Parts: sequence; structure tokens; C-alpha cells
Amino acid sequence: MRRFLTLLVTLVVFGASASLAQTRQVSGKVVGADDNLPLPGVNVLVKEAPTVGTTTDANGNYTIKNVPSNGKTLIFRFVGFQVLEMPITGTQINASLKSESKQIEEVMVVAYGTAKKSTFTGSAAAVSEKQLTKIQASDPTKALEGALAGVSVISASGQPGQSTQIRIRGIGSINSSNEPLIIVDGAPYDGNLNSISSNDIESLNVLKDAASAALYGARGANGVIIVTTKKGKSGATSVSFNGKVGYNFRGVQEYDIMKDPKQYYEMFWEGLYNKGVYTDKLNDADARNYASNNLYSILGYNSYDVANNQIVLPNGQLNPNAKIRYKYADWNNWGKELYDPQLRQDYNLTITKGTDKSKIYFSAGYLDDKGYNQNSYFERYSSRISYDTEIFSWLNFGASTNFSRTESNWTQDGSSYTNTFSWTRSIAPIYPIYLTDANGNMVLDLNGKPMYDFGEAVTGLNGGRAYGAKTNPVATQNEDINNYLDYYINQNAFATFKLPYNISFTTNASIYGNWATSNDYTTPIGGSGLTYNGISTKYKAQTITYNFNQILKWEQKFDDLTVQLMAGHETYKKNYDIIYGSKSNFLDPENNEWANAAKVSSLTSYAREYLLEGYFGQTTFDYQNKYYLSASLRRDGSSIFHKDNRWGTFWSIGSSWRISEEEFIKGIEFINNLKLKASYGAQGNDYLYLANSTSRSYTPYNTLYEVTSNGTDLGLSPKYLGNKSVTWEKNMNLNVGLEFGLFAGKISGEFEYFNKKTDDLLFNLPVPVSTGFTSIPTNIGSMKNEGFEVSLSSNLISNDLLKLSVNANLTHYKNEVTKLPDEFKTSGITRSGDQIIKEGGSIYDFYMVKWAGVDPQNGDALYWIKNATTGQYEKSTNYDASSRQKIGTAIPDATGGFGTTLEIMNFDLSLQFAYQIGGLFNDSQYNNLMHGGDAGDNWHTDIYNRWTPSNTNTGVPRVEYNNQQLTQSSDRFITDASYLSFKNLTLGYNIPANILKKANIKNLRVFFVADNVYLFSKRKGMDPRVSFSGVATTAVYSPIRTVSFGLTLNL
Amino acid sequence: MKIKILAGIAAVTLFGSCSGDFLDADVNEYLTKNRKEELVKTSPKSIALLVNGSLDGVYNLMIDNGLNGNTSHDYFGLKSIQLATDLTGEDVVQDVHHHFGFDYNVDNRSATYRRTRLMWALFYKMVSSSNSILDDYFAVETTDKDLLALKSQALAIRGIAYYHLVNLYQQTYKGNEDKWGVPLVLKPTDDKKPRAKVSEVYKQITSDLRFAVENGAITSTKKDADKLVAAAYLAKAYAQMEKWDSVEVYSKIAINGATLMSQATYENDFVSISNPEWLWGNDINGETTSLYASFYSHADNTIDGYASLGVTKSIHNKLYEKVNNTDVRKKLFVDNVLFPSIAAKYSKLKNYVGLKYKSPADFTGDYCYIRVADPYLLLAEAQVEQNKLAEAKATLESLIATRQTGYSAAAFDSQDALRQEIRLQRRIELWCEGSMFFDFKRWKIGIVRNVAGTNHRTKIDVPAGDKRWVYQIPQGEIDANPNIQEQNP
Repeated sequence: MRRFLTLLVTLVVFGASASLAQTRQVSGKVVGADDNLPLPGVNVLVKEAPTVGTTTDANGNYTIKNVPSNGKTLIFRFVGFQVLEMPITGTQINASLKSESKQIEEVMVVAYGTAKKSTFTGSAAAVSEKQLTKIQASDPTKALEGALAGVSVISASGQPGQSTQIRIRGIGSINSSNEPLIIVDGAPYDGNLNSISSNDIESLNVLKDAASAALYGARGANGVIIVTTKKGKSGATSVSFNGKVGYNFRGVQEYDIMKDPKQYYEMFWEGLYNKGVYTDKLNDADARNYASNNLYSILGYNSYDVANNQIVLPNGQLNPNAKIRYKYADWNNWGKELYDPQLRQDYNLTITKGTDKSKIYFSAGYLDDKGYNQNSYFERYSSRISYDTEIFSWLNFGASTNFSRTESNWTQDGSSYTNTFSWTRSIAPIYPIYLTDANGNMVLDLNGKPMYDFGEAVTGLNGGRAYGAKTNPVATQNEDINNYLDYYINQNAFATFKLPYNISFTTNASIYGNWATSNDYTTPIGGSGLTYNGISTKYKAQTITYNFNQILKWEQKFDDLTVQLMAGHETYKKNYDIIYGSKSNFLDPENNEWANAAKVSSLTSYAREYLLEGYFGQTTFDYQNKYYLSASLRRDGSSIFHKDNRWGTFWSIGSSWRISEEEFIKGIEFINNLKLKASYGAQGNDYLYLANSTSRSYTPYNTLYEVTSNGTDLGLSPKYLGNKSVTWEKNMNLNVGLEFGLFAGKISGEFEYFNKKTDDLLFNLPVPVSTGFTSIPTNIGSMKNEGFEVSLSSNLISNDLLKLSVNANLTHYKNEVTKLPDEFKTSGITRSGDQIIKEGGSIYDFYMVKWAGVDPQNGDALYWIKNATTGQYEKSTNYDASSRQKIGTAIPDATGGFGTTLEIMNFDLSLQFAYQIGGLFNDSQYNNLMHGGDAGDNWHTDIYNRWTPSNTNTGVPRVEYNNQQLTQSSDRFITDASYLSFKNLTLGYNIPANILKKANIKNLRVFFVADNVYLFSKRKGMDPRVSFSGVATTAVYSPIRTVSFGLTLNL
Repeated sequence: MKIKILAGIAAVTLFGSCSGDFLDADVNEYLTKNRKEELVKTSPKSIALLVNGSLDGVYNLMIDNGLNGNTSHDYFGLKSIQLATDLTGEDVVQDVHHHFGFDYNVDNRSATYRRTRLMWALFYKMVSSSNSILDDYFAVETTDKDLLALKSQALAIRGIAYYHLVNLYQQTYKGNEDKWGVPLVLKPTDDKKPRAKVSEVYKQITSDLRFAVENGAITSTKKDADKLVAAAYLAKAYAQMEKWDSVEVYSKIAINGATLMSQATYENDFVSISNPEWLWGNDINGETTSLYASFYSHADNTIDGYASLGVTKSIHNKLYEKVNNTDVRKKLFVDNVLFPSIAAKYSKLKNYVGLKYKSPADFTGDYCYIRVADPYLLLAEAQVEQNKLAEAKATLESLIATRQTGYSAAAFDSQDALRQEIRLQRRIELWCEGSMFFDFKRWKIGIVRNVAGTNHRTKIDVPAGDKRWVYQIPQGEIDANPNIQEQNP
């Protein structure tokens, strides 16, 4: 309103004086170029007489009655649209304004600000809002999977709510974190990203090199991901609604496992027979009888209606008279009971409104993500409000508040019998789910509900299940609770002061709070909680982080040179505290509160603190829009280190050259953009892990003692050996890149070479266990990650009818440990059981005894064993772990992704893929399924190819009950980890505008979307995507495939 | 303009650094070494709290299953090592292959395996904890009796740890005196020590334990490695050395006029720390139990732990047959012929399954590391080896008669016959209590499982002196300690 008044005053005062001169009248209509709809409120001014002008009315019409005689040009200005100048060629001047976003040069979010993409000297890449909202994942960073060169993303399991793990350009550290720094709206973010709805995110920017990330000196060594949330937009009020409803299915199929009890009993019989022959040295007939007679007592269950010692006859065949004694269907189909597609719903509402001075953004979202595994879910309520305003011409202020509540229930993983994925994979198909009477019918309880079979012995019926006795996950899965309830508030505020001499001062303050409640309850009705009559472990934890920074900026143009200077100071503080306890012996199995329990088994509380302070500065030079130079410096002090070694200096220099702006290139028609850039710099890492742990070491300079308790007396134990001299891990990062755009956008892309060298690795140096400690933190050793990445995209076809674009990216790098402490130079450091870190090798090199096949004579497993006298490797049955040899690395030759988008008329289709080529994966799940004869454990159907006297030429040794020799750890199950993942398919239809117009709807799109559509890997069931290191020892929640229908509505 | 200037000034002041110690993070999850050193100086009361706390820290460590980040359920401190070594022998049968299955197959000794790694880690953690206690609180010689008694506990712990180490990582003393034992780490600053000779390790063991016997007190709580515990282990060490006169001296001190338990206690209440025969152990309660990863989960066949999941632990039937039918110890195993009413009570258990360990259902049976029957039988052995046959018989009878009313050793009239009887009684008495692996080694007798009619599942024989009696030094130690002269075969 004020604007109108000002304009009115202007018109009255100046218009009056202008009217003295000779004037003429001009009128016309202003429309938007996109939709040809009239634009009201557009400022129309005479260029040569800027005081003369008007605004368009509600129908986009304007009239300027007093255009002076020197007025030759009209200027049309409207918020959100490009300024248009038109010569006054008559009395009727109609204008069509193009929206601003299409014209403005691409701007990217970088450290402490934004930069024009063309001038940027560093290496960064972004995932846009459009890509983000396609992916149906609770963690928005899932959208990075396969999307950007140099960025690897995995999820350790398919559990709803599971966070991702991200690696940018290789693995930089051994004992410190390899996770990138996450910055949300300018402040380091320590929480779960699943608290933020993808719908609220404008972009995810990944900073990969020193020039882009060194300003975050302290923590930038692993790269930086900048999450920018959406802000209000100027222009008319916009309301948009986005909803998706679909189902979650199992995304990766089970291995080919045995399903028929007949096959299992016969195979197990053979294992017993072979034990008789090969270990107990029985004669053939005795071994056959031994196997038939002991089959039941070892397995515990007889699924057939024949005598226990006649299930499999001494001829090795199932008794021809045997019939399944269970009188109900799917009696052994545990997966059918446990896994069921579940509903997924995701709704988001967004409202934005604004003028060029004040903008507001509001959103609310709801996500209900139920896993297909019983009792697993993730649910989120989120809302966000953001407000930016110009208070005075010299002061801008903005604030945003994000609130969310997430609740999830996790099912057990790890090696316990309550891990359903382990259970359904590994239990032999001979054990029933429900308790069964002598007639083979289900036993019902007094409420008429079927009772579960916990595998306990029932006289005259069963012996006790050889697999997971006293456990039945179908019965306990819904009773066991592993619940996490989190509240998040993230509050950001900033103020920008415009000071004289082109100086601006900005201060940002952020407070993030997370209040977490965990409730882990093991039901007393069966399973592992039975013995102690239920146990409940709960904690309440609070994380509060404060980030406060002050930034001065100055920008000045001198003819061809533009100089920017920035100086800043930042403090960060994180406080975490927790109260944790557990109680057992519950009265009512359905009440998991401690008020319902008797026995305290643990109770503790403590707090942790992390503090960081940094000073930083940056300068950039832009000469003739062709040559760019940037330099940054940051000095950080971290509470992680002793005060004598606390401060580190990090820096970068970068330069770029827009070759395409040079005269000698400008003449070359097909080159639209060509830019060469290079950067080098140092970044740091202070995120050291406690030895043997995934917890952070907060004061590694302290030697620590732990108070333990035996219930009454306090005990004091040495816990951690500290080292005062431990300090920053340093990462020297070289980046050279070439950006290009050819044939008018038909091909554009980027090629980059990088060489990241980490020195002074934060290292938990093993000390002899005979000292009583396992390690001491030190800065020792070096590692490098060298490689290249390529991104290509093409708008193959782009016309009014059809648009087809494709994109692809590839990253190749080599990880090499270049220096280790002297004492490990030859022996290396054991990373896990099967991986050793050695100088010259990679961090994920497998060292295992090599598999030498099967002895055709007797089916023995053969290994390549070093002969102590000759030093030669020989085929032998005498397994010896010291004969380990290098097998290869888990690090792939190449990773990346590709995708395509097709738009035909109102339809759009997009496909996205992620892939990995090479790398090794230890398929321990397959290994477990190829056991020699573990009672009650199921087999992979590949076991049909085991050695028998009639099948001697095979790679599978004979089956033999309880013979460790046949299944010693070797590279037999090391598998090529190459995969192709069909990540996302989206098919959409935009309802034509002319239909919507009548309903006053700007835009309505309906779509079908499927995530995790299919995985192609070397073996059905094997999912190498769960681990960077190629090692995954336990069965994990198999990833979810989500298939949904959705709509997006804009009012 | 004024406002702009003010804003500028405000901006510059905001840049000011935080105060100097802003970056010192609080630590309250653990006690830092600096703070500990301050506490030592505050008051005698806090010293006593720290010394006692440090000793209790070791005792807690010995029942903890989380050593060095371990999460596997087959490690729970000293009792897991005792169970593992018992299963690596002749007298205990594991009925189904599961946790401890490779111990039972006498195949869990390689350098990269968890068992040898955690054994080594536990005993060296005991050693280093003792070294820290000695260094932190006893660097200055003292004559204060109470302080000496506390110092004695630290030395006893160290001696006991080395007793286990040298016997797990090398053959027995006698005949192997000059072989490489284990590194002797005696000060917190000792680092990367080479393996010391077996004889040197024994010298340290006997010196530590002798100090503990001479200066130690008999404490009221059985969790303490007190004078009696030190004497009992010293007797065990001397038995390995076959120094029978010393065995006699120290086993007598350990026995200390002990009250032996009644047959009723033996049969039904063996697992409580109030058992009068227990010398050293720990009270397991709701707070200290490691639940499924606990001794009773694996050794108690009557409650819902791993053992009752089918992984029952039985007595070798050939040993069981040698137990007299009137002996209360015969009732410690399922026998549906002799004791049908007991067998009926445990109808799901097969014959020979052990009933010695019957703990409360929530795994809170207490842990016993050593009880008086051990030095008792060592005394008898020392006497028979010194050819004091009458005394040996008297000692044996005074113990066994409490198990088997009217027991007499009269029939064993030669030294060897009596020796065999004492050994047999030792095997029966200490069945599955963690001693037999070490006793077989010093007796130099092999494991004989492959006999007709055996209930053993893995029917292998292991001759005395075989490499399988010795664990390989963990790979981690070999990797980190270049001074280890050689790995065990």
C-alpha cells in the first residue's frame, strides 16, 4: 500500500511539473510470457523520465497519460519477472514479461553464502528439489544415491527411518569419521536428517573440494552437504499440496533357499551319514543306520507321520510313506507370516506468500512409512515456518522454525534369533510356526487363538527345535518394542546490516534441539525376554546445539575487476545428555513401563560436550568475467584436542578460467561453455572414534577411568588411554576440472580429477594388549584417494511436443594407504576379521585363505596353505589362518548412476539407475546358507551341487554334520559386488491447463512412482549396497520397494 | 547513519573471541586421570575409595562381557574362560554344536580367533589394572597393615592372571621351563615386552602371590583376591612346578580350617556365594548379570539360557560311571535309572546332563572361581607325591566323606593307586569348575574321548603335550608387539 502511496505522491508532484512540457499518452496490456495471463501491479515507467509512470490494473492494463517528448523507452518491472524495456513505437505498447528464474544465471549455495555457478572455482554439485521429491525415503539424502558424481550413498538396512551413510570422493580416514559435514541453513547439523521432509528442501549441495569446503575448515575433510530449506517467494500467494499413497514391499528377493522338508531331511541325513563315514570311521551300513537313527534327535522335529527313526531311510531317501503331519497350510512359511506389504502415506502442504520485501513460507507434512516387516514403521509430523523481511532499507531480518516429531519402531537386527530376516532365511523348512497337536492340528488357547510353537520339546511329539529354541519371532515381533520417539526444533535467525562502503554484516544464530526417547522392551511371553520375565531399557536424551556466527562482507567493482572480501567468526557448541536405565521382571506383559517391573538392572546418566570456535576469511577476484581467483583461510579450535594442540589452520586457493568467454573461442559455434578450474587446499577432521566403538571420542587427550558397579560397591577401571599430543587430521585436496556445454545445451558436462591426501591420520594405534589397553590415539599414517569423475547430461530432444533428456555420471577412484606406523609396515593392521590395512593397499583389502576347491576323491574342502619349509602355497585340508593372502578390495572400479526424463505433451516419465562396477563383497549370508551341516540351519539350493561320490567334479564340498573343516573362512564366498539398481521410476500426467482454469487451479499433476524397483546383483538375494567395506555379517532388513500414486496440486 | 554506525560497532564487538577456556569440554561420563590425581591428594578417605574402587574395578571386569567392545555371547569374563577350557577337555560334553562348540572340538586356539584374543585381553587387563594400582597408590613403600593388605590384593590379581596366561599360552612348567612364556608387564610404562621364559613368569607368579599370602588379610567378602585366594593359586602354581612341599604349605593356608558344605547344599544350593566352600567369586545380581552372555546361560541346563536351548553340558559317561552310587555328586547329573525322581523333574534333559549349576531363572547364580575343595585335593596330591600316604589318605577322606558318607581310601595302598584315586576325585569334585584343563596339562595326560560307548559328540583324542593344549598368541598382539619372539605352533 505504501508503495502505491509513494507512487501517487511521485506522480502528483512530478507529474504536475512534467505536464508543463509536451506530453502524449501510451497504454497497453502486460501479460506473463508463460501463461499469457494478465499481470496486475506491474510498474511501468518511462526510462528517460523515471518519475513518470504507473502500475497495471487488475486486468494488466495501464495508461500513462503524460509521457514526455523525450520519452523513448518504457520499462516494465515486476517482482519475480525479468525487467523488460520496450521502445515507445506507438500509443499501444503491450508487454509480455518473462519470469525471472529462467533468465537469472545459475546460482549455487556455497559456504556462508551463494555464488554464481559460472564464477565458482570449486567443485560442487546439487540435487534439485525436483529430484528430491521424487524419491520416497524418510531420509532426504537418499536422493543423492547415484545422482551425483563423487558421492556414494548407502543404507545399512531397509528399515523405515534408516539414515544413509555418505562418502564423498573415497574414504579419507581409518579411525575417524568418514561422514561429510551436514550444514542445514548455515549451521552444522548433528541430528537425523529424517526429521526434515524432502518437501521442505530446496536443494542438497555437495561440496567436494577444498575451494568449496575449506571455509568449513575444521570439519570439511570429508566434504560438506549443504541442505537449503525452502523460503518464502515473492508474488501471489501460492498453495500447493502434494500427496502420495502407496505400498511398501520387499525390494530384494530372498536367496534361493530350501523350502521343502523332504529336501532338507535328505540333505541333513547325508550330512550325518558323511560324519559317520569320514569322522567316526563307521562302515557304510553303520553310517546309514547312524544317520537314520539320529536325524530326529539332532533336528528335534519330525514333520512327517512316520517313526522318528524312519523319516529318511538308510537308503538316504525320504520314507515313501511319509506324509506331512501338519494339517494347515504354510506351516513352515515364516516369511509369509512376517512380511506383508504395508501402506505408505506422505502428504505435504506448502503455502508461500511474499512481496519483494517480506516473504513467508509455511509447510506442514505427514509421513506414515510402514515397513513390510511386522511392527516396523517410521512416522513423521513436520511443520516449518520461515519469514524474511526488510525492516529498514539497511536491515534485513529473517527467521525460520522447523518442528518435527518422528516415531519409529525398529525390528531386531544383528545376530540374534529375533532378527526376522535372519530367521526366515536360516531356519530349516521343517519347523512349524504354530503349536501342533498329535493329529497335526493347531493348538488353540482359551481365547480360541492359535498358540505359537516356541520350539520346546513336547513329550511324544517333538524333541526341541535345533534352531532358535524358545523363540518364535512371529509370536514376539508384535510384542517386542524397539521404539524411538524424537522431537526436533530447529530455530534459525539472521540479521543483515547494510553498512556504508558496500559493506554488509550478517549474523546468524541457530539453536537445534532434539529430545529423544527410546523404549526397548523384550516381551516375557517368549524369546529372549522369557528368562528374565521381560526386560525394558529406556533412555531419554537431549541434544542441544548452538551455532552463532558473524560475517562481514565487502564487494567492490573496479572497471574489469570485482573484488569480494569476507571475514567471519563462528562458535559452535553441542551438549548431549542422557538418562538411561533398564528394569526386568514384569507383571503384565503388555505394560512395558518400569512401574510394572521389579528389578533394576542398570541406571546411569551422563553428559557430553563438544565445542568449536573458528575465524575465517575469504577473498575472490573476478577479472573480466573470465578469470577468477579465490582464496580462503580458516583457523579452528576444537574441544576434542588438548589446549596446546587445539588450533588448526585450514586454507584453500582456487582459480577458474572461462575459456568460452575468450574471443578466440567465441567464434566457435558449437561451444557454449568451457571452463577450466583448479583448486588446492587443506581441511581438517577431529571426529575420532573411541577404540572398538562407533562412539565419538570427546577428549582423546585424557586418560579415562570408568566407574563400574556390582550393585553396591563402586569399581574403577582404566577405560581409555589418552594422548595429549593428538591433533587435527589433515586432508590435502587437489581438484582439476573442466566444465563444458556444447551444441546449444545438447551436451553438457564436467570432468574432474581429484587427489585427496590425508596426513596425520587420527589413529587408534593398537598397543600390545599386554599393556591392558587396546590402543592409543595418535596422528600417524597417510592415505590417499585419487580418481576422476565424469558427469554428462544432454537434452537430446527439446521441442514443444517432446522433451527427452539423459544424464549419467561415473566416479572412479583408488584408495591407497600410503603410510602406516613402522610396526605395522609389514604386518598391517587388522581392520576386521578378514580385512587388513597394509601400506600400498586399500583400506578395505580382503586378506583370506584362498579356496582351493574340492578334493574329487572325498569332497574335502581344500585351501591354499603355505608350506612352512618351502614357503609355497599348496592345496591342503590343514586349514591354517596364517596362510591368508591378499584377495582384493571392496572398493569398486566405478560407481555412479544414470537416468532419463521424457516429456510428451502432458506426460512425463523419468527413470533413475545407480550402479557399481567391481569391488568385492563377502557374501556371508550365502556362506551361512552353504554350511556343512549345522543342525536346524537352512541351505541355499546351490547345496544340491555338493560333492557326492557321483558328483565329484564340483566346487561345493560334501555336507557333513559338525565339520568345521569344510566351511573355514576363505575367499570362497567373496563375490563381485557389481550391481545395477533400478532406483526410481516416475510417470506423471499434468492435467491440461484449460481444464484446470475453470476450477481456479494453477497446476495439477498426477503421478505413479516406484522406488527401488529392482536390483541386479551377482546372486539373487545378495545386496552389496548395505556396506562400503564389503563386509556385512548379519542379515539386514531387506530394502523396501515403494510403489505409490500421488498428486501435486497448486492453487 | 547513526544507527548504521552503531550497528557497525555492534558487529565488530560480536567478533570478539570467547573466553580462554571456552573450548575445554566437560567430562562427566568418565573420571579423567587429572581429576583422579587430584582426588588422591584430597583425603585419606578418597584414597581408600579409589584403591578399593580400583580393585573392585578389576573384580567387575572379571564378570563383564563387554571387554574391548565384545558383544558375543560366549565371553563373560573369567568364567567363560573356565568353561571354554573345561569343554576343551575330556570330562565335559557339549551335546549340541553351538557357542563354545569349537572349544569343544579342541579347535579354538588360532591367533585370529575370538577366544584367544579375549583370554589374553582379560588377563592382561587384570595385569595392567594391578600395575596401575601399584603405581598409583603404592609407589612408596608402606608398613601400614591395611594398605599392605590392599596392595596384596593387587599383587594376587597379577599373580593369578599370569598363572592363567602362562598355562594357556605355553605347556606346563615342568619340562618346559626354558620355553617362551608370556610378556612380563610389571609397570604401567612397560610396553612391547618380549615373551619371558616360563621359569621367569613362574618366578613372578610365586613372588607376587607369596607377597599376597604374607601381607594379605582374610577379607569378609569373597569377591576379594584375599590371602586365602592367593594361597590357593600359589598352591596351584607350585603344583604345576611339582614343588610339592610348597603346595602342601600353601594349600593348608588356603584351606584355613574351612567348613565343608553339606550334601544338601551340594545338591541344591551350590551356586550361592554364601556357600561356605567358596574362596573367590562374585555376587551376580540383577545389575551385574550379563543375561544370555553369562555363565549360567551356558552352564545351567535347567533355566532358559543357551544350555537349555539344547546346548546342554553333560558329564562324560565314562567319568560318571566311576562316581560311587551313594555319592551326592552322582545326583548332580540326570540319571533316570538311579534317580528317577530327579530325572522326572527335568524330563526334557537326557541322561548325564549336568545339574550341578542350578541358578535362579534370571541367570543370577553367583560366580565361583575357586573353592576350598581345590586346595584340599591339592594338599592330598602334595602329600601323595611326597609319599606321605597316610596323611594323603586322611586328607582325601576328610573331604570325600562329606560327599560320600563313610568314604574310605584304605583300598588304595600304593602311591600310584592313591595318586590315581586323588586325581579321579579331583576330576569328579571339580567337574566343570575351570581347573581341569590346567590339571591335565600338569599331569601330562591326554584327552581320551574316542572310547567305545562314549557320549562324546566329538570323539577325538589329544595326546599330552600336543600343540592343541596351547593357545596361539592373538594376532593383535603379534601385530602390535614386534618383540614377541615367536608364535606358538
